[in-house]
Amino acid sequence: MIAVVEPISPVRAFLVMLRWRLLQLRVELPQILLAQVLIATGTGVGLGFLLPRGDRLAGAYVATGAILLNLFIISVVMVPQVVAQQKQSGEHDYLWSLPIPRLVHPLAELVIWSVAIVPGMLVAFAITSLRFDLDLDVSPLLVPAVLLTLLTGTAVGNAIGLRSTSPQMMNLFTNAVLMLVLLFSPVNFPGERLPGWLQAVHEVLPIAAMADLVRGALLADYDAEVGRDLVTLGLWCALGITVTVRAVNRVR
Amino acid sequence: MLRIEGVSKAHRPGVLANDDVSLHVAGGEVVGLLGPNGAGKTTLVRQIVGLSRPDAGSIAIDGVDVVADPAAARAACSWQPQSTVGIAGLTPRHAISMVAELRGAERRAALARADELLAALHIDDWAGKPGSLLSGGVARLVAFAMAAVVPGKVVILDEPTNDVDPLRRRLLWDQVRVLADAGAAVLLVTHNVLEAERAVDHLALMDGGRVIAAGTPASLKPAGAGFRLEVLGEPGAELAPPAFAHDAVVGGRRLLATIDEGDLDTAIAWARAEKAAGRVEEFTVGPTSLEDVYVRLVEQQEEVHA
Repeated sequence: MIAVVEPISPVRAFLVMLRWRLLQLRVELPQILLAQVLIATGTGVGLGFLLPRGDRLAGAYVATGAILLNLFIISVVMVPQVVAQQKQSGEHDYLWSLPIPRLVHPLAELVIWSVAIVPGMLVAFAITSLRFDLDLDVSPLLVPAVLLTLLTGTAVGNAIGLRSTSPQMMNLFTNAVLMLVLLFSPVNFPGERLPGWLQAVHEVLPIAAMADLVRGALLADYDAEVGRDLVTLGLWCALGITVTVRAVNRVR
Repeated sequence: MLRIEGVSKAHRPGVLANDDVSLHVAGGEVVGLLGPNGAGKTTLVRQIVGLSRPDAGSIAIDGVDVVADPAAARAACSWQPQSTVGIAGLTPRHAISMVAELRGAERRAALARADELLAALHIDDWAGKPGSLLSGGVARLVAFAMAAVVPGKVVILDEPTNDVDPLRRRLLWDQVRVLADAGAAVLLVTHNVLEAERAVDHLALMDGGRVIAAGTPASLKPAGAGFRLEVLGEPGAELAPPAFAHDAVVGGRRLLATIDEGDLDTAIAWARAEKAAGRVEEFTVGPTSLEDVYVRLVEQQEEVHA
């Protein structure tokens, strides 16, 4: 028998929790990564059929669109569903009863999913840049832009999952979000094509800011409104983290 | 060790899930918390482990107020929840040893202790299988091992034997006793009365959010509670309750009744005669069980409320 020991350090707790989640996901995670790569290939090639060859501006949008689609599928579809499932099954209650900081678990979740997004994004980028002959000018801003986009996406996704009432409702909600991203957001096409009120909505939502920031960091002839994007994403990121912290530490 | 005093908790205004509950569990003791579904047992447990907060009353572990300091509750309690802990791709060995690590054990010691428990519960054949492939009973035993691997001062087990086969139930009860002998205060939540009678030192019976009776299993059976007669009729035979039996209930081929001590000889003679006449397949006569007491207490409680 092992006697009760001193609490472990938050860093060690985080590392054990990371191992816990990776082992728990060892069957799903490779499948998810494969699906991401397939989706990236599919969108990169498939969306190209919608466009006339040689239209470089359209190509630039589709390229960044394919990259961002991968990000959205993980952060606002996968993550909320996984979190909602954990909440429903009582897994959260169990993990939160352990003598470790409760934030260790969402933090491990954030890290795993942020890394899981990367392969799909890279494949999407490689395929679209080959196919559309893009005029690339990768700025040093790309790394922080992608990191902030990943962090904001997973933080918001995590918060949505924690506030969900059931995995079924979550499913419905995330499908609606994906539809919004695909067809009603300035991700795959310029924002000017949207009706004015929808453009106004995207001034507030983080989707347009994510797309703008990533595009600006990739393309030579595209000027992003970096300052405004950073503020928008920073606020959403803070909101996601605040909701997560409050939901995790809530005692009913 | 665990002192719960006057705890009340309402999930919705006016509907008390716990109503002035007081309960003490000493170190080295196994206390059974018994009661029908919806009695408020799990609500009470969730307050002890710091997942919810009482509206009134106090909960202390080893003198520390855990309502004010939920982190202390998490360090002091190990808990097997009522719902199965989903471990998915994790193997039992991984899950048990990593909980030990999270509770402060070194990795090697954690693995050794996990192996010890897997062997003691006779589930070592499943040690390396993914959690998603485990049967309900094995998953339950793994969840128990996760609570027992580095036990807290207080160990809370919510329905630990659900779905577990009879042989491994005994192994589990042995391990519960090992925890108590090592000094842990064990709170065992169950509605399996027969098992509780054998496994616990003290019992608290809950219904409608209140503790309606408490004591040792024997002390809960009132003096002069009588004996119970149970008869299984031959298929097709008509079972009529004999005159000396009270509270007789006939259900299908089975007859259950209470008899006074003075009628024991009469009852056995009657049952043997019925058996000889081919109307009764088998019968038992024994002391009133805790289950009879339990059913009676809960029914009385419900009559009071009605």
